[in-house]
Amino acid sequence: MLSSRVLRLPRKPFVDLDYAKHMPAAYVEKVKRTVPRKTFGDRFGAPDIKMYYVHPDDYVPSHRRPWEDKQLSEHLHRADKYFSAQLSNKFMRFRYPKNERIADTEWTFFPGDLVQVMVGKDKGRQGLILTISRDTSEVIVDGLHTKLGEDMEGSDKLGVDKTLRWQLNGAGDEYIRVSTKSGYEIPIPSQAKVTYEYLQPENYIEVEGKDTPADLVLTRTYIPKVASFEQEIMEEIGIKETRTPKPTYWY
Amino acid sequence: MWRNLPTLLSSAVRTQKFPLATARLSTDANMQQFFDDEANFGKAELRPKYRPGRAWTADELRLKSNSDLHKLWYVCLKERNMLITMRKAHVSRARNMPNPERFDRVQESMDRIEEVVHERNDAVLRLETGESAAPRERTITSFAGFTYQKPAKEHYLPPENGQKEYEVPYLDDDAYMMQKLWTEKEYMKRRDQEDDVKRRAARTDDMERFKRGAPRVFNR
Repeated sequence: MLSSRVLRLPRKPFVDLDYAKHMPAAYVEKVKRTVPRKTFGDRFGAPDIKMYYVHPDDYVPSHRRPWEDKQLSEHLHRADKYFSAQLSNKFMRFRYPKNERIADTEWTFFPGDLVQVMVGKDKGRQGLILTISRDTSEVIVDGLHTKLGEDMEGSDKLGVDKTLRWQLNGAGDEYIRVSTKSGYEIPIPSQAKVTYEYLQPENYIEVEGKDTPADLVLTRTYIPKVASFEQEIMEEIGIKETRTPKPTYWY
Repeated sequence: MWRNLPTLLSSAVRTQKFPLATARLSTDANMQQFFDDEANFGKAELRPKYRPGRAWTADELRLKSNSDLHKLWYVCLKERNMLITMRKAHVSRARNMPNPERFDRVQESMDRIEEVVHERNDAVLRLETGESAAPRERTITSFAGFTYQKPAKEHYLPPENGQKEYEVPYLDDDAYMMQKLWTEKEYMKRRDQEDDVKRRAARTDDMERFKRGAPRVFNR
């Protein structure tokens, strides 16, 4: 019953739209250097002590991808500074990042959107969004630059769709992007689906000999059986085990 | 049958099931499996045509039979060996390895295979014996008074006197004092941390700009 209710929940496609969608989380943490340099564990029940390359409180996100050369060298430099401060027993002030990440349901900008800048020196100019940075709440428009959340007052006069919201569609099974002012649906541009691996999911080039074709991945070969993994493999290879193990003690 | 298996699997199976075919390959060809495609040599970033995609997700792996998972594990292992060889080659020539996230992609796949196998074993074991397939743990109390889960070890003989550790409801004097001081220290650390958060929130941009401290307020 619970699963059927979950299946009936409307889809939120915008939650998955991320350039780094398929990047392994462990790799991203590694290039951010917010991983422990050393963990002192096994402390008789007391929590582990972790020494970080760059403490998570010290990590300041940027509009650049963390694995890009320039950003990575910045992180390495910070890690060196942090470590040398630790070695010389000096106080090091962490740069606690100020802006908080905007919730997925609040965020309505995607790459490929035509936007008009409403404040700042580029006020009134229009352009397509090149990249968005969710971590820093930044939107990079081709040639122009703006930052969200900075003095948005006075932008009413320009008569442009200022705010969008996520709303259920007619069938009630999917969230769509709707202008608050005019009530029109503003479809998500195809450019929003771009990730590091592909420009469009259907245009992904499968690497011969490495990638498994999509249809084969989704072929079901599992037939449940009351046997453990090891038993089934032994049966397949033809290993017969007749000995019965003696009881052992776990302590 | 080969059609039903993903390509990586079918190539792996072919080498497994027909040892003659493997034997016919020269040693060079076998050694080649430890190296990347030559098209990838000396690249800063792999071209999309040669850049492997994302890791297997747990949901996809749940569709696959146990023998498929078994084969996929070794396919991943071979890929990981290849990557380690390439990394060694790059490091020895002081070069950057292209697309190092491939390590983590393979590792993610392998972790998820383990997860799915554990799920299946757990279901069978719970059904048959009522026990979990997870590694056994025991709740014990250390000499310092901390009560925690410790992985149990397997022994052939039953425990001798004092060999088996237990959870202790009442701590002795030393452990009690240790715990008392520990909680006090943790409380003070937490209090200082909360103060720091408040102080940081109260700082304005002007204070950063003019290098000024916050106004001093006594008897707040």
